[in-house]
Amino acid sequence: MKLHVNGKPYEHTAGRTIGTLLPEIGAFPDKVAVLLNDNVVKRAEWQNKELKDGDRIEILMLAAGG
Amino acid sequence: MDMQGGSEIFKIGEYTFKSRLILGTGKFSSATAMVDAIHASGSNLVTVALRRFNTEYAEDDLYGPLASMKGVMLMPNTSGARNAVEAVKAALLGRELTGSRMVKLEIHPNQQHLMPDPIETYAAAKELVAQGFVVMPYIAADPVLAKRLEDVGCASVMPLGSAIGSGQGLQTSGMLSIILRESCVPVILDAGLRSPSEAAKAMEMGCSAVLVNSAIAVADNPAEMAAAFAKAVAAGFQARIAGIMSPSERASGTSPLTSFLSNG
Repeated sequence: MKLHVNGKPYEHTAGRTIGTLLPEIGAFPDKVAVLLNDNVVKRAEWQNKELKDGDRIEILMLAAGG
Repeated sequence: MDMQGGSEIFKIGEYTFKSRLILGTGKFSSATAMVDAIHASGSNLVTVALRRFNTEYAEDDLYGPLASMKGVMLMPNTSGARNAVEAVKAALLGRELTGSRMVKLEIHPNQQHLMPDPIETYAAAKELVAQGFVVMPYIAADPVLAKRLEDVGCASVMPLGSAIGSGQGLQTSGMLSIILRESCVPVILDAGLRSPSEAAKAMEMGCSAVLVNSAIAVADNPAEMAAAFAKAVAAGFQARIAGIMSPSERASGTSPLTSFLSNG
């Protein structure tokens, strides 16, 4: 499945949900938040949130800032 | 007088804090330097930002060091947002990541001066209040905007002293005085401070708290500077509660002026 992850093309092979995408790219699920096509997807919905070709996913984490 | 600043306990929304110094976490040379500075400051509230996950920087992670600190609450900011829609999105993501309902709402579309956009900030504030956030908007020192943000339910207002990270100090004291006189929510001076005496001045004027980042993070010894700011903030607050004397145009002697040494 062809996705756009953090602005770059990405081929997701391990499954078809946000829950399968995060470990495949090495993100720690307890330390990230996810935007799917500009909408926030809550952690509780990740396992069942089906992805489709062309989806844009932003994966964010905490950073230093004032 | 700002009654929030006048009470012993610093309260924002339903949250109470012992310290009136809020720390930003940017620009520190390492996570250790940041944690040491937060400890030394005694702060109970620190700001954090968001960034894209990157496999190359997966280890550069604030969550661990901050989560290990007891009694320190996180306040995600919306830095990077250029308009209200992006800011609301950033706030929702920040709440997902930290579990904190507090949000430092900042929208600065121009990277050269980083001045906050009042129109987008106002629109985002209304939406975030409606969504149950404790909204802390970063604003220019504009008394009208401050009041409008209070009216839509913001838990505090955060006027700037000077441009973010500039170290130009408290340049807005005239407008800040008006905000302090008019405001019914805590006024937190945010941005631009360079030295502890400026933080003390802001507290003496009636601010409920001060947010400092660059002045501490880029000091030769951030932990020592954090401790110095903590003392200054506490001293400024204590002085204001003690009642600062009014200035007079005429001298008023502090020693007896009887002329017992003269020959007459």
